[in-house]
Amino acid sequence: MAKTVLITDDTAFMRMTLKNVIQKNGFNVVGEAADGEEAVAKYAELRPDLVTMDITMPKMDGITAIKEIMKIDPNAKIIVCSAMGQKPMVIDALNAGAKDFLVKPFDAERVIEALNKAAD
Amino acid sequence: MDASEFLDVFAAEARDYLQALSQDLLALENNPDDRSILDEMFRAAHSLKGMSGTMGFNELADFTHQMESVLDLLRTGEIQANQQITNVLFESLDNLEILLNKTLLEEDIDDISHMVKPLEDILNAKDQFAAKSAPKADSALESNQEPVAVSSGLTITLDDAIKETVKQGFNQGFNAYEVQVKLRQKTLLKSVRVFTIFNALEEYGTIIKSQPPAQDLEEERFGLEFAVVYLTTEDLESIQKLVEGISEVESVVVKEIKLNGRTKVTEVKPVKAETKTQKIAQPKKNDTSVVNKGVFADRFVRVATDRLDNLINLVGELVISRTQVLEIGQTINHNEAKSTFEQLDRITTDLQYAAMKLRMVPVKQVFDRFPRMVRDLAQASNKSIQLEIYGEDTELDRSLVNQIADPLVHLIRNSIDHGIETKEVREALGKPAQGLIRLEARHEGSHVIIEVADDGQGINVEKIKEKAINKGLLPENFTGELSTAEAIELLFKPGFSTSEKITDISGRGVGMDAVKTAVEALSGQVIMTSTPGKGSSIVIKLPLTLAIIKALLVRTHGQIYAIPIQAVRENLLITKDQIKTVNREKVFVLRNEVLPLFDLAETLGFESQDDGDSYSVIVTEDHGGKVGFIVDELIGQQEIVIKSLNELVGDIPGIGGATVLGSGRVALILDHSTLIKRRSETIG
Repeated sequence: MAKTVLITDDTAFMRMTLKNVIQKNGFNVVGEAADGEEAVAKYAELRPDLVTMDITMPKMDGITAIKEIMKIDPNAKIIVCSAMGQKPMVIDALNAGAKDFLVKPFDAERVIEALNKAAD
Repeated sequence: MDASEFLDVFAAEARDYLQALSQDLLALENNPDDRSILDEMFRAAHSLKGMSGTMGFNELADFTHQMESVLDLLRTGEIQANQQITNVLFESLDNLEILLNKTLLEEDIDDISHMVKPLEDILNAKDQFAAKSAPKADSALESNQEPVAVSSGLTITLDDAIKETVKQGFNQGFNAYEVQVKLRQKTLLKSVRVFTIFNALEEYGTIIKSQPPAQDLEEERFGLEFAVVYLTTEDLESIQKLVEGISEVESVVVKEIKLNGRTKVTEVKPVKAETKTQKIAQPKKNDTSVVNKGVFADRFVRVATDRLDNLINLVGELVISRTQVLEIGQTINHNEAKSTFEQLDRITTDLQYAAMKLRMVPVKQVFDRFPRMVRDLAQASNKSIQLEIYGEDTELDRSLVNQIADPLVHLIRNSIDHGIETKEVREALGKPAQGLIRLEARHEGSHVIIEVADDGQGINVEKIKEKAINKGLLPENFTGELSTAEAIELLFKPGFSTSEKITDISGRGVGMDAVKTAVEALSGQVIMTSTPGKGSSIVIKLPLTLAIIKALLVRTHGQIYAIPIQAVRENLLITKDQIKTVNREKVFVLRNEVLPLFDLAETLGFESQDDGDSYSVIVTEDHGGKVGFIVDELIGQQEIVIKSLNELVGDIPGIGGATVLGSGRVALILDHSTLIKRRSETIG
C-alpha cells in the first residue's frame, strides 16, 4: 500500500514539481494545500501518512501549521521544506515536531529519502 | 529532476509574482512602515527564488536571492526603506522582468553583476541604512564563511571532566559511546542536519561532548564529519540504526567507550538512500476513501488559449447550426419536436454565453501596470499625481484587453504630460497640489466603457488653433473662434500632436488619432470632453466581445456580404442623375458633402452591372472619411459569428473574415477600410 502524502506549498509550481517526483516514486499524493490553514484542514480530513510543509506561506505559516497538525495528531510525520537562509525557521519547525527537512531547490533523491525515512 | 515540462506553469506563476511584487512595492512606497507588505514581498521573492532554482534558472535564482536578502533586512527592521532603496527595488523588478523574459525565451543572459550590484550595495552598506533603533534581528543570510575542514579520523580525547561524567554514567547503568557521523557531500544546511541528529540522540540519552564543539557545528565551521560522546541505556546497534535512519547521513560509526583503556569498534556500515529496506506498510484504516477524497479540484485552472479559442469556435459553429435546425423546425408540425427545438435553442444560447464568458478577463490585467507607470512618469516630470482606479474587475474579451493597453498607455501619458500641471502652477490656481488621474472601467449595456479623466488644465483651444494652422489643418488666414468641441475634433485629426517639445513621455508624432484608429479597429469609439482649467475626460467605448458582431448584410453580384455595423453610417437610395464624375471618379453629394462612390461589385473585382435608374448606397466611415458603396440589395441586420479565413485562403485585402448564415451559406465579411485602399490600388 503506497504511503499517502499531503503537499503544502503556496506556489502551484512547487506543488506540481513535488507531486511529480513523489508520485513517480511510489507514493500517493492525496492532497495539496496552498497555505497553512488549508494544510491543517486537509490533514484533519485526509490523515495522510506524510506531509511536506513549506515555511513561508500566506494566511498561516508552515511552523504554525506544524504545531496545529501535531495537536491533531502527535504522530504526524511532517517534512519541512525550506530555502537556504531559513535556518532559524527550520530549527523552529523541527522543534515544533517536523521529522526532517528539505532544502530548495529540491533534489529528487533527497525528497524520496526524506519521505522514506520519515515513513519508517 | 527534469522540470522542463513545467515551464508553462512556471512562466505563468512567475509573472504573477512579479506583478504582485510590483503592486506591493507601490503600496510600500506609500506605507514604508507596513510590515505586512514587506512580508508579502519577501514571500514572493522567496517563492520566485525557489521556483527558479528548481528549474535550474541560476541567474534568476541568484538575482531573486539578492532581492530576497534586501527585503529580509527591510522586513526584520534591520534597515529602513528610503527613496534610494525603493528606487533600487523598482529597478530590480524591471531587471527581474528582463531576466525572466530572457530565461523564458532561452536567450543568452549576459553577466548580471550590474543588476545585482545595487542590491549588493545595500546589503554591504546595511549599517548606513540601519533603522534608528534597530532591534538586532536574526539575519536570514547564510554565513559566507568557508567551512573549516576538520581532520578525519575523529577521536575525541577524553579529558578528566568527561571521564568523570562517563564514570558517573556507568554507575547509573548507562553505556557510553563515541558516535562518529559523516554527512553526505551535498548536504545543505549542515548545521540543521546536525541539529536533527542531536535531537534524535537526545531522545534516548545525553550528549556530553562534541568534536568540533557545539558552537562550531552550529555555525557550520566543520567539514562533513563530527563526533559526539554519548551516554545512553540503549545498545550500540539501536544507536547505529537510529542515526542511519536520519537523512543525509553518509556513514555512522559507533564505538563503545571503556574507561579502563580501550574502546571497542563495532561494524562500519555506509548508508545510502537506495539501500533502504522498505517496511511492509500497515494497512491504513480508511485508505480507499482517502484516495478518492484526495483529488481536489483547484478553484482555478490554467488552460492553453488555443484550446479555449477552439472551444469558442466550435460553439460558434453550433450556434449557426442551431439556427439552421430551428429553421427546419418551423416547417415541422409536431408538438414534441417543437418543444425539443425550443429547449435546444435555450441551451445553445446559454452555452454560447458561457463560452463567451470564458474569453472574458478582468481589465485589471491591463490596469495593473499603470500605478507603476504613473509613479515613474510623475517622478520624471516632477509632478505629484495620484492615480485612482475603479472597476478593475470589469470583464472584457481577452483579445480586446490585450489591444486596449497601448491606447490607454498613450492616454495616461497624455494626461501626465499635457493635462496635469506642475505643483507650483496648481497651487497658484488654488487646486490641490497633487493632480488626480482617474481610470475607470464599467459596463454599459453590451459595451464596456473605459474612461481616463484628469483634473488638469483641460485642452488649450488657442494652442490647438495655432497648431492646426501650422499643420495646415485650418486655413492660414483662419481667424474665427473655435469651440471646445471643434478643437477636440482637430485633436483627433491624423498628424496632430499638441506637445510643444518632444518629451520622452508622449513621444513623437503619435497623437490622439492613433488612439482613435486603434480603438476603432476594435469596433470601439473614442469620445473626449474637456473643460478648460478643470480637466479632460476620454471615454473609450468597446463591444463586450469581438467574436460576435452586428453586421449589415448586403447582396451584390449574387453574393451576400456582411459589413460590420460599426462602420455603416447610413444607407440610401440615389438616382442615376445624382452620380457625378470628378477626375474620372464617381462621386455623389450627400448633404453638401461630396463623397466618393464605389461600386462594390467592381471594387471586389467583378464586372459592374450598370443598369437601372436608382442604386442602393451604403455610406461607411473610417478615419479616412466617408465613402459610398453601391450594392444590389440590402438584406438586413444580423448578429454574425466571425470566423477567420484560414491560411490556405490567406490574407485578402478588403475581406476581414467570413461567417456562416442561418441558411448555411457563407458570407464574406467586408473590411471597408482596406477595401477602399485596395480599390485605389487597382484603379490608380
